[in-house]
Amino acid sequence: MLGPEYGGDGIKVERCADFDDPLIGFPGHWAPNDMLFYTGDQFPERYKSGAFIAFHGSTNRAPYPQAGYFVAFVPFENGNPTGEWKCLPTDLRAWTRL
Amino acid sequence: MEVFADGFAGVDPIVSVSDAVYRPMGLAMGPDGSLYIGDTEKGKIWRVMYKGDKTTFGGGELAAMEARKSMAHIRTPDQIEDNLQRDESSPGAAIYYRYCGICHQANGEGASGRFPPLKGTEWVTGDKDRLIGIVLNGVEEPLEVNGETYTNPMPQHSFLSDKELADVLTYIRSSFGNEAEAVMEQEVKAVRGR
Repeated sequence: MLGPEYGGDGIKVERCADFDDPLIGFPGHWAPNDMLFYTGDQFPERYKSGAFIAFHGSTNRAPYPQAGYFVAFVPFENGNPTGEWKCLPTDLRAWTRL
Repeated sequence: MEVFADGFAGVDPIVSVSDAVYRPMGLAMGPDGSLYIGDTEKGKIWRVMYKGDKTTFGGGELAAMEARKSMAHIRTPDQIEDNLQRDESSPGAAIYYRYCGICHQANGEGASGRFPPLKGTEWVTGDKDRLIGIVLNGVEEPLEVNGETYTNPMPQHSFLSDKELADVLTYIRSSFGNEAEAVMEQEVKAVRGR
């Protein structure tokens, strides 16, 4: 979807149609700063199929509280993330700032 | 997506960046399969180890983590309930939240390494003309504030009226523990006219 900074209105796709969709999307400003596919033997078996993501967290989520600030695990199956992050933007302005 | 490790900030909701005690940044795995998590605020490193029974791990543990998604720093914000700006106690506060608090934060402490604090600094509580000039014209040069040098430019805010600037500057000079006298509309007008 075209970002509002580039003329998007929450519906327009335009030139974004030329790009691949991301495998998974997260809410704005969570700041994913590191990712690690677990290959060790210490954790339960399921963690060998997926990625840990460190969300450093937001600085600017006004008017809402800051978000992120945790470590997530995204399970994978056949090379793709399973499940979906269901948290869709409700107020486009708040999700698209820098 | 599952929540794997939380509680780094130590508070919920996290209103200002500096409210967070820790922020996770880096991940690494040790030769024994331990997960290491690095933090940016204090340089702390956690080593996460699994000591339970791997064969029984599953539903119960994951359900407990699923419940963590209801915390304010993970859930989708409610447009009304989670709006921190719904209590705008004065015109200056309203302008502050709209144009300033995004970087300088609700508590006026900024964000280390990026945005300088407005709390407890001569830049805010000192010379009024200098302060008015910063907000009217912006700043491109690095600024040293309370011992830290900040290089992000301060954008100019000349689009605000004299009254709005006086209100917001009065607000920052009398908030966050600051106790400096008010800025008058006429004083902003005078600086703008130079």
